[in-house]
Amino acid sequence: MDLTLATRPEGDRTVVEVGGEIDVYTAPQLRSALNDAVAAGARHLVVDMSGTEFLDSTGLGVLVGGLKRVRTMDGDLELVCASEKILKVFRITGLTKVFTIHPSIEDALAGSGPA
Amino acid sequence: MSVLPGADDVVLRVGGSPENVRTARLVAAAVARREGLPEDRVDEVRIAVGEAVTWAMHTVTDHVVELVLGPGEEGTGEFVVRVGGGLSPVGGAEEAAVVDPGAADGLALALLRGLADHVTIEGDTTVLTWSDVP
Repeated sequence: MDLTLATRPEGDRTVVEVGGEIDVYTAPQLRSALNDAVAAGARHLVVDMSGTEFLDSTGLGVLVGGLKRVRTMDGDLELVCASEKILKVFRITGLTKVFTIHPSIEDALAGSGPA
Repeated sequence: MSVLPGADDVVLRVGGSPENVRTARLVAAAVARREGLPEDRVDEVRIAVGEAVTWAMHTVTDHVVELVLGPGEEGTGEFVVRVGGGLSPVGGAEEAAVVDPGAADGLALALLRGLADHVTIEGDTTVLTWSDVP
């Protein structure tokens, strides 16, 4: 399955929904989507991986790159992921300490959010 | 990589295009399942093999990656995947795509070590081993 991407505003956040497989082949599309959102003025990104079925190190690299980028603009990038399979990838690489990971999009949007 | 495949081994050779990584993952998962690995370990194989193939695509000189997948030596109860350089592509290496791993190298290695029971890197060949295969 290829990657599907959909970006939408939610209040002062921008949600990027990612479905399918994020790997070395598809990760450049995710990088473009994050770059486009930032170029359009988004600073508080929520990457919703509820529909993501696979994630590799290249995809992780893109997410870390996105986080670094918005942080230089006083923004943030949070994740939505409930899949044990994908959470394991974050745990093994130690990135659970780097990202705020919400179990659902409702939880992510209900959070205290950006000031 | 020069490994003579055993009778139960599966050999796969892919060109250096990143979309072939997914094909390699699918084959690896299928062979792991056939060898009796439970589904959670099949997932480990899927991710680790994808990382090893991605790694090989930018470390082997000809950008053709060869995988040999199958049971380890008889009686060891292992599942072994070797990933390394294959033969040169027709038309020469300059036509092969180059995968840019960017800053992902450290993450890739962390995943390999975290997912396979044993990882060795010999030259351009990565050997991934899963033990206690039922």
